[in-house]
Amino acid sequence: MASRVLSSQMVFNWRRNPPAILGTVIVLVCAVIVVFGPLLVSQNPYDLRQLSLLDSYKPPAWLDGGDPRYLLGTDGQGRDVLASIVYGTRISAMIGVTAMLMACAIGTTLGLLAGYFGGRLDALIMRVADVQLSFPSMLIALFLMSAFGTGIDKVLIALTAVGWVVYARTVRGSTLGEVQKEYVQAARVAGLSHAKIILKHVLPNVMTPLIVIATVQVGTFILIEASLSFLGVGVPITQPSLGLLIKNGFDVLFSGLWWTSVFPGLMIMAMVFGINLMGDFLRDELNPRLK
Amino acid sequence: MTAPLLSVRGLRTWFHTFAGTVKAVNGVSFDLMPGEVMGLVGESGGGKSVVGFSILGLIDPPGKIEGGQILFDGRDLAQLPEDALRRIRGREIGMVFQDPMTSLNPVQTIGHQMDEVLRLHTKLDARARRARCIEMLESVGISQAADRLRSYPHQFSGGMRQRVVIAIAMLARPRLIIADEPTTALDVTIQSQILKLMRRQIAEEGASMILVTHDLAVVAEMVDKITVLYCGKVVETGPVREVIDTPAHPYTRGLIDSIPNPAHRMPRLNQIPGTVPDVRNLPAGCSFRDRCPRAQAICAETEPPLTPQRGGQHAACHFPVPATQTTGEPA
Amino acid sequence: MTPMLEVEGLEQRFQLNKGLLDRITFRGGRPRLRNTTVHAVNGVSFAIAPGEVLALVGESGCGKSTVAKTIARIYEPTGGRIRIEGEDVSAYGPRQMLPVRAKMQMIFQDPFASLNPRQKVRDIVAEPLLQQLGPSRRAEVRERTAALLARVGLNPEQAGRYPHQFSGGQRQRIGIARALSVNPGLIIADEPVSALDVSIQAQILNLMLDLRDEFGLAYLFISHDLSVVHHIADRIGVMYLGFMVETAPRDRLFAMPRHPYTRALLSAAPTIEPQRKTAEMELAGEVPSALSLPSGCCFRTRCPFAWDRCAIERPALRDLGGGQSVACHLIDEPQRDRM
Repeated sequence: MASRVLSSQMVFNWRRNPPAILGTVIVLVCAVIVVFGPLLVSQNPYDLRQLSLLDSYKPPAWLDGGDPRYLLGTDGQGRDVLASIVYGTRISAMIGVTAMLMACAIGTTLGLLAGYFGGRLDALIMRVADVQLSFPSMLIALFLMSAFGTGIDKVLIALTAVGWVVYARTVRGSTLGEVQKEYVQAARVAGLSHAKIILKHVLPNVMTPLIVIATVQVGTFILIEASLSFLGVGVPITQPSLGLLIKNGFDVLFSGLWWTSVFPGLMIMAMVFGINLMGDFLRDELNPRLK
Repeated sequence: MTAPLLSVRGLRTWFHTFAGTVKAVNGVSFDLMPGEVMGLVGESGGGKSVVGFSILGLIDPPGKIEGGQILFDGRDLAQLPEDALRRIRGREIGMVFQDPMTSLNPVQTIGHQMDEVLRLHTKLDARARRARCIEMLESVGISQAADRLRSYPHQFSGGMRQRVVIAIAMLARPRLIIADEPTTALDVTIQSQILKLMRRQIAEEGASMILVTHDLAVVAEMVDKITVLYCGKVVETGPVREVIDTPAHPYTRGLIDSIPNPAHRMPRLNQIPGTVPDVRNLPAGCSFRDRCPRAQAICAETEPPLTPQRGGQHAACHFPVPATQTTGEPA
Repeated sequence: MTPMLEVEGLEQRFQLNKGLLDRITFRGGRPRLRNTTVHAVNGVSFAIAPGEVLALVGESGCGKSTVAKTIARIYEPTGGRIRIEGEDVSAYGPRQMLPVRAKMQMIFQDPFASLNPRQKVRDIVAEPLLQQLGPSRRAEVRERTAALLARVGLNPEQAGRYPHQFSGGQRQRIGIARALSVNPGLIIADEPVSALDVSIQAQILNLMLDLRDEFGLAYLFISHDLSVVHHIADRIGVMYLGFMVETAPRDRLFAMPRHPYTRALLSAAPTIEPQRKTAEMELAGEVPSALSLPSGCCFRTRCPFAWDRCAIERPALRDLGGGQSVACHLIDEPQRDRM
């Protein structure tokens, strides 16, 4: 299957597409940060023994008063902003990807069932989806926090609850189309059970658009999580994502201490931008017109 | 000797795709007299639809007319700019496509679509246009035409939609109609109605028609002259009865033998062995040689030119089928 | 001899998915509920002997494909009986159907849509047999698959390729290999050559006849093309709007068609030697909708001979001898036949 996705034509087009190359480079850099993060920076900003309050609010190294040890400056506790960004990126990315995988699994399953069996099951699932969409993730996160406290798992639940619908709708539409096709009927004539037909025949043929949706959704989730954290209903302080970092720096932003907010913000922007560029490229490449 | 209405000379239309250059039309020439109906026959990949689109200038990138002339009334359509072509399309050359559902705009009424053609190509006023639309609809057999002008395409059945498409094609009284598989999507009884209708319309207006199809039986009933395409080249052309009864080119022969004929029942159909070669990588010499029962060494070296045969036929073959072998016997 | 397939009074009705509110319409100033039942197949009966080819012909909407798919149990029949080698399978569930599926397989019309584009060809061909034998006999199935591919004229070394790498004719051969894999006695062929070029069509028809001679297969051959049907069928059934209007052995049907629709069909079909055709019988109008069947005879709205009896009484299929049956009131009143 991978060989069908990474066709030589796709690589050919990628090499000629500067935005796609840029997007891929950005995403790869983020991946490296996520995997090797702690090895890249000398300070672990969440180990209190490594911090020194004397180093608090140092500006970026190229400005007056800057310290070459702290390239992007420090925050109020003496934490290296660069190190915080590395750790924060890991958290943001992990939340984005995990929530995407959960939403994809749930949404795809429901979409397959709705499209294949139709009738009342289809109607039920689609109505639930419609209702779900009327709740903003903010509301769900707020409810979860007030009932169960903060935590990354609450954030994941809030994002998944909102994110599964797009998969379900897309997969249902594709499934409705595939089920009409004669190879599915041939599988029925061969005596395969419904479950086997769905898993072996329908799923592989409806998966392609999901790649694009999933890619872009990671970026969307990163942004939503950042907003939730900024408003205080997201991740706990012990595991700050980039959004929480922005919030922490926000309080002192107008006193001229800009680097604690702005750099994490730029990081989010770059990450989501790279993901979107890749998503655009994939959308054009995986378009069914290639068939 | 009257001049031909349409004269295509050495037309070449190629598609430059990632996977190679597809030479869909590779040196096609034919003449069409006023009032003549010609069948352009071939199988899929033969290039016949592309010929039709090339004449109308409807070839989009990655396709391009690489060479040749399309002389319509003395003007070379291949050289004309887009706005000049637009004046000709619809007015002097009409087109009937295969699928009536997609060739009509689903969100506009029939009346609107017909009116548009007349507005673009004639100087009639609103009342005259409406009258002409009603006249055309009635002549294609749609009753209560005045009411039907307000209907949408989905409110018609397949056969009736195709009648509307034919009506639109003939509205501005074109001198040439190009019909690309006009009845393939229709049932047999409807097909028969539509074909009769088209023949009558053409005869009334004195127009010419190019009928592009893979169905030799339809061609046998409808056309005066037939041109057979294989891999983008003309392999045979001539009066329809002669070509069908005594084909000169082995491909035509094989094609006719492949069709089950209730009049001569054979226990086994004479099939043409092998498959159509990849149009991106045609063999040297004659494109048909790998499947031809009559091929010899020279067929792999030189491409046979179109040479005159008996009875007004022309065939591109080094060893054409002799007239004594009529269809129904093994080649 | 037990027929390979016997169908009695087969019915198939579909519900169009229209909610209650969509169905409300106004007629004569009063609200009424629109009928949403499509009567696709209305009491069709026939039998196929082992090794026989029965063709069902008719135009779009006549229900012939629906008959094929109902027999193959892609749709559940809403009425009637289906017997395979004498066994009544009409009410069988999926588990009971599994051994029956070894006797009956299907070939489809669209060579592009009938093969899963993401499956390798050898897996496609092996699937029905694997389903019958179970995963434990995979090696045996693999050998058989290679032999099947060779038998239908494909190179077994290409078994690891995907469908899109084959031409339309080759894909149809793959579909035939798949159907043959379980050694069925009956193959239901739903317009198997309609989507193919003429020269490929000939190859496939020859192949199907060779396989019939070699394996003693019976075919239920669905087609709209009368020339193809003339070549391959032993007997022919003509359908219109879900009804069987005439059945006869091939030569008899072509030489002496009795039902007006059959006659119109035969005269409308384009042939390559038009001077041989009998006088043209042209039909007026369009096919009525299967949502509201005409009363009495389904064909009366387009029939040049229809009279008042035809609107009241639906004609039954009657045996005329020589294997020919017709459903038409003209049999009783031949003087009305003006052509």
